Amino acid sequence: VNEERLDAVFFALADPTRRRVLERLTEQGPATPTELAAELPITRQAVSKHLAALSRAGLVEPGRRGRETRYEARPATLAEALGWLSRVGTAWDARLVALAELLEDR
Amino acid sequence: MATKRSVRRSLVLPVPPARLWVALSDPDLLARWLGVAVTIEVVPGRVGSAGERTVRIDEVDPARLLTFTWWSADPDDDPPSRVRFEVESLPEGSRLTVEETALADLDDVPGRDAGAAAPDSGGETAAPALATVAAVAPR
Repeated sequence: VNEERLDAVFFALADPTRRRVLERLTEQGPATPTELAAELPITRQAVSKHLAALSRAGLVEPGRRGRETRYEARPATLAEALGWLSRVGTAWDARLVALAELLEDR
Repeated sequence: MATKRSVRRSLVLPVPPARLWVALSDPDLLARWLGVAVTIEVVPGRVGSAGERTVRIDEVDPARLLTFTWWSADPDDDPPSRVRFEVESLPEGSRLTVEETALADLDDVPGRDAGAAAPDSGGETAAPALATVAAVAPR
């Protein structure tokens, strides 16, 4: 687990526009910044900035397509980042049920 | 700037804070609801274990607050994290709020070396660790 990478994931996901870009790439497949700017209410410049943040987080991966860079979503990164939250959350859910039962018994 | 990963749960229990506190601070009772063997004295700075993990008690305010740091010796496991139990008195009993926050890095765990080397040690090795905590973590 790369903690720096995970921090970057949560930072990238904190922005609604970046979530929207990621959603678009996940649902409809890879796209170039130009295509994204045409589809979403975001300027080409802002798209590039958001893609850079998503890319640093490992949530999207750039690839070449002719003269333009095409970005692809990497859902595995998100699954890995959410892994800790769901694992730790599930563990406490189970423990707190056991605690409530223990206190009822005594 | 970095966003810390944190999990939070809160529940109301029909017992007064003093009784809830016993379940949070008695190792035998802790073991029963945490589901792992627990050897730790709930005193600030003490180092012990909970299952596979090493535990260091950070803050203790009886019937109100308990914080500890725990970590696994296996580097492939989850990173060290800090757990906070907060108890509030309510007319119908107590509210317990549990929060677990992943620490960004092993370097964030002062006294980790002392704890890892001697998981069951008492006050002697824990004292310098506590001093480090006070010096390093005024959060």
